[in-house]
Amino acid sequence: MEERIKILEKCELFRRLPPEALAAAAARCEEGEAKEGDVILVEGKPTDAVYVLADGKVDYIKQVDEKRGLVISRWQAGAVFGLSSVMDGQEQYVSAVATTPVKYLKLPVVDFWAVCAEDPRYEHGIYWQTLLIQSVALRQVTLRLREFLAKMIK
Amino acid sequence: MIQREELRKNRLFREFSDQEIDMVRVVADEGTFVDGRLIIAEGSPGERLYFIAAGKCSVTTEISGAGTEEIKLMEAGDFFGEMSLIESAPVSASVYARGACRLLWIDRKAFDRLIAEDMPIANKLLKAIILTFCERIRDTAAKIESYYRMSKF
Repeated sequence: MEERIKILEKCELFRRLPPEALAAAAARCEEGEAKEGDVILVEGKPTDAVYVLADGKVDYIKQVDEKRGLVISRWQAGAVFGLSSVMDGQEQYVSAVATTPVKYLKLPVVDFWAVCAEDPRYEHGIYWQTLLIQSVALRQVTLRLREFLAKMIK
Repeated sequence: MIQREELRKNRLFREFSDQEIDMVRVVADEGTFVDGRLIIAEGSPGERLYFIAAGKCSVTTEISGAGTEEIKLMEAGDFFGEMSLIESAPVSASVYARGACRLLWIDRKAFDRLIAEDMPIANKLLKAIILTFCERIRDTAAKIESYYRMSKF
């Protein structure tokens, strides 16, 4: 349990939660592992949880045709993924693929919303951090679009 | 003064009660922009959250080797400028009036005050911005795919 709390403490999403809320979130988490090459979240499918990367590396890959995927962003320990899909209830816009052996915590969707519903201050902290995380994600995906357009033009 | 319904048409305020809308009305400002007028410049410090009440706005960015490209056309009900207020980072794209447009806005101080003073308002506002971010991330990722497919023809 202490180990889980330490992992959540390092994750930006939970940075504004007080210790008691972190402990409650940690108690709701499940632990998981993936091998290099495993697809943890699949583009086009809804996610079942918010994932917190405890160890290892994960790429966000956008499928651009039947055979090819483009790396949109790279994540390491402390990163959170699956968040957009949890927030809007839609499918994943990219796949999350382990590029090394990976350990993660997953907070199931229903438990994520239960943590938010426990106290408006928790909800506020999680929303605020979600915006910061999404802001980075939006900048990264926009940067990839720009790079791609520049390459096409050349 | 800005009308309630004008604000409520914006996707940020659809879930707001009359009382909550009024809290925004008292701090919001309004203005009309002529066609082609630069509203916010890429790289500048963002100081306002804008809501499009009428007309359209073009979001553009500089692409290396290609010059200025329009990446999104926004219309009444949309908003922009929020990223800089949240991150305190420079604006990531320029926005121009496409035809005459009427905009409403709140400045950084008013935004910070709304977020800090009233938790239910803050959470509604943040959730609405999050959902719009989700949509923008998806749209941008989908554009990468469609440009890739176009590049193959």
